Amino acid sequence: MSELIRSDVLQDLQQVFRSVFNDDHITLTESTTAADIDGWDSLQQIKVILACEKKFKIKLRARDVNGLDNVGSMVDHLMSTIAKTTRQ
Amino acid sequence: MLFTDPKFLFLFLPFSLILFYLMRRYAGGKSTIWFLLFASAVFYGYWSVTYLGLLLGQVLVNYLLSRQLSRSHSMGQLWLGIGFNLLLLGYFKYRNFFLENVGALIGWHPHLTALFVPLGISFHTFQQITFLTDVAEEEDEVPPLPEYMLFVMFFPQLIAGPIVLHSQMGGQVSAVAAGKRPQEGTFGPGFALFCFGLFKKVCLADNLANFVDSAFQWPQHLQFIEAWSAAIGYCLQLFFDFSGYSDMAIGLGLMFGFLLPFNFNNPLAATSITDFWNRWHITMTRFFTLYVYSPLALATSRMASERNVQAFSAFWLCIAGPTLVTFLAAGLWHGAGWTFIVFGLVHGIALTINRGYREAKMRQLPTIVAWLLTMITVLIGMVYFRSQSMTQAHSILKSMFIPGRLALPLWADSVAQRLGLPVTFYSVFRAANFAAHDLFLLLVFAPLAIMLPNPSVRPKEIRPSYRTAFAVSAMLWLTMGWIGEPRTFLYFQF
Repeated sequence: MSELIRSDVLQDLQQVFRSVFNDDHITLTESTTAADIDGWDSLQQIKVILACEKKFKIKLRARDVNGLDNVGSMVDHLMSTIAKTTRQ
Repeated sequence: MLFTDPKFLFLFLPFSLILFYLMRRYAGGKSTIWFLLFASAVFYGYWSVTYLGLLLGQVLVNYLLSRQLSRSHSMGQLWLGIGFNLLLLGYFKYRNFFLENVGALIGWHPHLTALFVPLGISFHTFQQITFLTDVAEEEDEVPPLPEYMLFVMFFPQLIAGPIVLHSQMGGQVSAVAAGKRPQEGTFGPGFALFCFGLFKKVCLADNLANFVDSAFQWPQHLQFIEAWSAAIGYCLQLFFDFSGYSDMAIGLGLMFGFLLPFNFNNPLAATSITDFWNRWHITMTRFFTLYVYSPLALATSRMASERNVQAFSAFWLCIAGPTLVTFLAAGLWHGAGWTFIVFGLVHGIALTINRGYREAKMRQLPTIVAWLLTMITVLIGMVYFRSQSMTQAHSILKSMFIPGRLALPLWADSVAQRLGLPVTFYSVFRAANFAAHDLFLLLVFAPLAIMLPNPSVRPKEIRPSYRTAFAVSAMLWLTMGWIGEPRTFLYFQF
């Protein structure tokens, strides 16, 4: 089983954002928040969640992404969900 | 007890504060929590001991439910719990409305006695539902009983919010219970914020009340300018009243060392209806977004992507549908009446249009146009919100948008006659209590509503400077001058 690398997850997440927001200039860091990305609201949140589900092959809940403070915590949550899913 | 009642200001509050600080210093954390609970019970029970019993009962049942959910994490049980809370809320708030309308459909006209709606039930019921959901979804743990009870019943936010999530307050309550050192420097900012809220309520909101109440009592007599003045006046009154109450609630919380979430952030400067709801009654918007809209939109979006639903239907399924359902619920939450339902519908439709506009990536409107559109939508919603019936609302809206006849002051009569204009003359404005005085109030208060600062957003930044001291004393002096008969807070009826 290949090791899950944090930077890979961050890269993939960045790609998700770039495609959802249709902006190839978006760069994500661990501390990026909703305030840093134009138009990131509850509507876009849904699209981000669904895109993450497709990309990482996991199942997420609305509150999983709604309540997270920044990209760093999103990556944490994604990694733990991926780990939980692959374990099953 | 009202926050503006002298009994609260000069008896209950000082005593509670002094005893709270004494207990915190000498009696330990747990006793302090019990004392705060006792004070909150007195605060609520002052209005009705019977309904205090109901509140305590509901809190206890919810506590037991949350304990069960923390073990089972069963969604079925969660829905039962939510159902119990909504049924209780529904019984007191919506029973008569429901029976009347069903009766109208089947030709049955029951004689219904008016049911007294327990104070704050809409707020604390929602607050408890969020906790049940958080516990069931493994987002939170169940604290000891007194801490949970304080989370629900803490008197500053008990009657009309802010709707606090347990994640925002639980830690603060346990810190007190554990006897940890209190945070420094919260009392001063809290007091200043409280005075600010008091000023907004007594000096601003209540001064608009006379005109607004009369205008909405005789809506059929309103002319064009009077109708707009009534709508704008009510919007301002509601803003000052509710944001004033929220400032007082947060200020009180701070005086006891608790930081509560803010509810308003300059909503009348919003440049889109989405922006408006991110600035008006923020804790309610958050509740509906987190617990109603997002789960619904996620479920429908998933369904849409699985069945490969295309653009137009996808919009209806994933955006319009959840938005309309959420805002219908939000409208209905405010009260049992068709006017509230339509209020929700107006905002739901406006939000859907706003989102559709953004999704279609259409050109951004100039700021002033966007602001005007937003404010007009808000005013339309306000007319429904305040009117006592649909007929009244429509009569006011008609005067606002399809005036038909030109309304002029009496002295312009000769000019109008010569030009042959179809005129009527101001009626509500002409009556003894109103006229220029109230128009003047509107002209002064409207810019104030946008220009006044929002210290509740970052209250700890309120500095003990000469400027703040002057502002607080000026506000207190004006407030004491106007305080007179305490008027109820508008949001108490919800």
